[in-house]
Amino acid sequence: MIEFEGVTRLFGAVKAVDRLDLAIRDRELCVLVGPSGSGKSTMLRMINRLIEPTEGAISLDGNDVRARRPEILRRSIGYVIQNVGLFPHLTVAANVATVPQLLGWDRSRIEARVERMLALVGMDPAVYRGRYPHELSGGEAQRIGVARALASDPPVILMDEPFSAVDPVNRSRLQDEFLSIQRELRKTVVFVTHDVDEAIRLADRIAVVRAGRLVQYDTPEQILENPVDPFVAAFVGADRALKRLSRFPVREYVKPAASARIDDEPGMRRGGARFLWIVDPAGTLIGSLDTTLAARCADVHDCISIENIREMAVPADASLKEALSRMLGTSARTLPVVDTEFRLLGELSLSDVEQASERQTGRAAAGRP
Amino acid sequence: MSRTRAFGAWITFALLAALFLLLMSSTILWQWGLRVLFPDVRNLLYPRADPAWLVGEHLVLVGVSSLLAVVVGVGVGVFVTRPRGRQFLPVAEKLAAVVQTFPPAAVLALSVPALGFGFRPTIAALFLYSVLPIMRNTLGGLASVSADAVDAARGMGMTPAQVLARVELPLALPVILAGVRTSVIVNVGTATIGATIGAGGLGAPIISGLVNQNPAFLAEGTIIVGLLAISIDTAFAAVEASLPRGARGPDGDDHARGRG
Repeated sequence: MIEFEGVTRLFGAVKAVDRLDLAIRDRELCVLVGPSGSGKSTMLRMINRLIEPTEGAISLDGNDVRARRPEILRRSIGYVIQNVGLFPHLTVAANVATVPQLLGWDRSRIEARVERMLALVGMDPAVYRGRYPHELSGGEAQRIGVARALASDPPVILMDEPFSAVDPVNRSRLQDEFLSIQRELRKTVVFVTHDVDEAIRLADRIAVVRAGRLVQYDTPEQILENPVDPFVAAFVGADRALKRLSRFPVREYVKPAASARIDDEPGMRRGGARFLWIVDPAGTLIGSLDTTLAARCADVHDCISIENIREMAVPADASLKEALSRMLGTSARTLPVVDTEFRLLGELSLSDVEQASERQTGRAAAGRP
Repeated sequence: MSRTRAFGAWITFALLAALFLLLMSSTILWQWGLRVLFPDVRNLLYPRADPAWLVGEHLVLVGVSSLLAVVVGVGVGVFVTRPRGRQFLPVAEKLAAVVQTFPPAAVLALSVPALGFGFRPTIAALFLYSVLPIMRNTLGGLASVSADAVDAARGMGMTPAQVLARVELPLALPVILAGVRTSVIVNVGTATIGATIGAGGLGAPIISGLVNQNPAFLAEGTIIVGLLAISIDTAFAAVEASLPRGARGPDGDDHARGRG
């Protein structure tokens, strides 16, 4: 557990952090979110003593962080920053090996660890081990940054706007990947961002920060449902119902779908369901078929609609928010759900999304104190 | 690509060094060559010392002064960028900029009244002239190191000494090395003026040639100085080309990026 007790930090006369009390639970991903200049970065950097508090104390598992020399403390805390800060003169492998080296691990252990970390962040060690940072794309560099922070298997990871310098497409991929890593490793993560969507997407618990003070500290659902004051309400925005949908993975709402194989003509002509998803023998989604039209088609293949299928198909790892967006974009009330190989897993309809939203609203309201 | 570039640079250096050593190996070669150039001149070779001896003296002048300048220049540059020495940073920057504008000959001439004649005052003057450019490049090099890399290094638990040795100096190295290169090459030339105050070296035949109106002496000194400067310069070029890719050159968008 990371605990701030009455922590204040002055920069000259400016109170960057003002009497902060905050307890971050073990194995939770806590997002500090607030407008720029609200003091969230300062809060983060006080945990590993890059900045020292003017007043108050911070403890890690009950021990004051000042009990250890800053270097020793920092080696037990992972650290990821916005512009990655990879060492440009060192290879990817040497970058990832930084903390294990500082800890004096032997070489074979370091090498094995570097391999595992690169694989963990989805980068082939054989390809990337010997590369230099300037040979990486922004997204790749940030993955290495995460691998480097995790290399010594620290229980706590600090992340300061780690994905803000990456373009939106890569950002959401990095978020997905990081979430799945976090589901596996269950670190205590303190994550700073000014992006509310990112906070809602990732957080187990969100600390909304304003002018150096903690305004609200709760689960994303609660913050969306019961913003504590007009500032938080304005900050999370009027589209909070939509934002809430970004918390729910499509995977959990998929329903079985009626489908037929493209080489199974009787199957395609059989009635029952009005719409059929058409797949190839490997299960890959090809298109859709309106069975009422199929009856009138001489060759049933001519009636299969393949238009828009790429836009309609929603990955199982995506959120209900993305699914809703695809429904609006394609005017389809029901979407096929696919895996990473574009194989059909099932379908998701607008009413499923509505129900999920209502149910979650009810749950959040019931959780009210 | 960089490996072939480094290889080419080392080959260039090796060829020049071989040529240089060949010329140093025999005075007979010089006798013969200078006779072709200056058939009317009676004394062809500077009589007081062999070319090899003169080169040795010259290298001691340049080597000792440059070594001192690197130690002091880099040392001061590092010191004024540490928390403890940061108050001296503005002074160091101004000093470096001002002294850079003095011509080297003037520095040498001015040092005579203060330091007297001979070998040591020449070394002192050469040292003075090169220490500030090296310091300035050290400051520039350290300033060019990505703030993010330093932040990450500290945040991951490097001690201040480790941050300096493993991140700051390696990243500043190309800029520092460029400063050393320039000042060593300038020193090779400037050291010849040392002969006017009795320091010896390759300036001796040049000065003697001027005084005695002997073009052969003059040629002996200038040709060797020129070759020496070019050889040393190619050596530096080879070392620079051999630096790790990420640490080198202005293509490093990686370390130019500042913190937003």
